[in-house]
Amino acid sequence: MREKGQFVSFDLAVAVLVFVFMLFFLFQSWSTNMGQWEKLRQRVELEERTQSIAKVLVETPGFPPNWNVSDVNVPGLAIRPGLLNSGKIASFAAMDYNSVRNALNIAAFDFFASVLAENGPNPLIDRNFGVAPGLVHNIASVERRVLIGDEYAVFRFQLFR
Amino acid sequence: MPHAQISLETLTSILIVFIFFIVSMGLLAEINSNAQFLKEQSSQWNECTKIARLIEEVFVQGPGTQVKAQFSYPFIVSSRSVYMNDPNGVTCDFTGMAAPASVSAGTVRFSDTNGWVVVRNA
Repeated sequence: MREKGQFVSFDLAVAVLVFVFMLFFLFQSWSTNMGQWEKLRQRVELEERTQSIAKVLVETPGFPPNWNVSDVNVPGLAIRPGLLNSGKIASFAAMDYNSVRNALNIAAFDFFASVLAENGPNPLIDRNFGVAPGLVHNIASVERRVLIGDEYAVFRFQLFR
Repeated sequence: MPHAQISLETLTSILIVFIFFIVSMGLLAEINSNAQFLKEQSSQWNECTKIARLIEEVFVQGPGTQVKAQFSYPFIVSSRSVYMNDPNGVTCDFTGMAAPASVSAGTVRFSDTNGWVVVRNA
């Protein structure tokens, strides 16, 4: 029988094991929370960007106010908030997809926009812009009721990645 | 004369516990430092988006609009984004255009004096 006091004992081993397990759990929980926090931040950013872009498109004339495809800095489609200019809609539809993304400052995202007449299909009003989203999880959509000439239409803007 | 002796096992045990203690403290310090970093980033992000929304709002409201606001962090505004001027600073984008007051291009002019900011659609 050994008579010396022993520091390494079964109790100590169990205690260290429990502590390591708790520390690992704490670290794992921290990493998970970090991931969720980042996802939430990205989601909020996506929704806010979608709202603000839709707002700029349907409430402002853009910059310069009488922009065309060659000199546009910020595309805006409105004559006044909610009343869209069909000429600017046509110019917007004629713009290159990547140029629109750069002009709207959304190079890191993809977008799809559409204008559809409220009272059924109307070839003079109905337009699509951008890339239709496939089965993507991270997508934000905004719909605004607008007036084009004397026709009501629904403007939809979707941002995703 | 008998001497007090520490066995090899005891010495090893003390060493293991010591290393374990150091590693635990290191991990806890790292978690604490990350928490501080996140807190700072979150605060800066809020401030950054507040400035970005203000610029967007002034852009949307059109010429003649002016807003004066106070912010607590130093920041730099470029034509399409706001950068919180800090080594760990965040950047946030906005829709529309802004330019410092001294630059003639752009529709939204930006003046920053002593923490007070004037955003004006010229």
